Amino acid sequence: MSGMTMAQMPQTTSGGRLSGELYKVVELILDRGLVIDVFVRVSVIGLEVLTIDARVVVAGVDAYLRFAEVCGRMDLTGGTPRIGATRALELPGLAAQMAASPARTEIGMARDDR
Amino acid sequence: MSSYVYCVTRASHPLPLEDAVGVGEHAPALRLVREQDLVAVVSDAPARLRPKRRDLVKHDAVVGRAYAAGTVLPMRFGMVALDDEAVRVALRSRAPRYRELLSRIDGHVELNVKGVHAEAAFLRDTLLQNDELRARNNALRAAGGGTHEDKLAFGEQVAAAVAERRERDASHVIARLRPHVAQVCRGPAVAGCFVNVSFLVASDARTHFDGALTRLRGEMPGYASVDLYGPLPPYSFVGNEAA
Repeated sequence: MSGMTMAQMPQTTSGGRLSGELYKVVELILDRGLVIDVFVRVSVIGLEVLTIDARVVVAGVDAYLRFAEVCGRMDLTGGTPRIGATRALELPGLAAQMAASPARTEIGMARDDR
Repeated sequence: MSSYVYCVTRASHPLPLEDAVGVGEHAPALRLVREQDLVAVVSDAPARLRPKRRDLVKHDAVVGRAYAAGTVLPMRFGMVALDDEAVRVALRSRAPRYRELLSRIDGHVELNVKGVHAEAAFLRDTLLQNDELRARNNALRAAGGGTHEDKLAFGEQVAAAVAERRERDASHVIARLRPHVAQVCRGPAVAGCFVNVSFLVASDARTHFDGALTRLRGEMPGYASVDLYGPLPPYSFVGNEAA
């Protein structure tokens, strides 16, 4: 539930028409769009965080240990694969954690303070 | 004073920007820099710029307003020219290319699709579909979790399976939607998403695209969801990285 709250926060704080959606496509505005090579790109500190973050989530020691820990909580002995069983067995906290992962909030929100 | 650039479009564009202001603390006024049949929307560049919410919203608001009234080439956030004359020179030297891009985008919208796996359910399914991983997990559990090294090695093995399944699901999403689009552009990796992809879709193909998306959602497993964002200004299809 906390993940939902994080994801929706910009809608309630900015008042901009597209702000909720902007938050969901911010990487396109930061990383796509027309570039004119003779122009300078102003120093935009923190941009790198967005693009490396996803790799950090699926690779590296922290990710490996987290995967091992989540799997370690699953009792799959004698369990036969059942289509549709996964939804009911979902651990809600983790999905929420991913949705509210630090880098996402950093780009969207936390950098405002600096 | 250097010039922050928001978008480039045709001089014939109505550009209804009366109430909009530029990025930066002092909310600078917008102005138009014209060259031949092209025009750039600019403002004085702020002395400091960070990827702050406030400024991202302003950048997108300026681009979004122009986009709502006609075809535009949106600039990437943070592009600054030495002055308005440098903008004019850039427009002049690249005019044929910008005209061609504008024609290609006319009548199209960018739709961004992000796919998310509910992590625990997805990991569970990954183990259920992989006998070796499941057996190893059972063995580790029986051993009280195993050593730090055991966990690390197992987690790495899980991560490899996860990466493979993510890419498989990403390819599936793209394959299902591709028949209804003019161009595809994979977006930057985003935390928590197994796919981030933008499509350039002709306005009159939108119904087909939406239909395909609905069917796709119906066939995705329970741990996966697919969200649609847009129509957006065509950030992904202005020539830099569009595939």
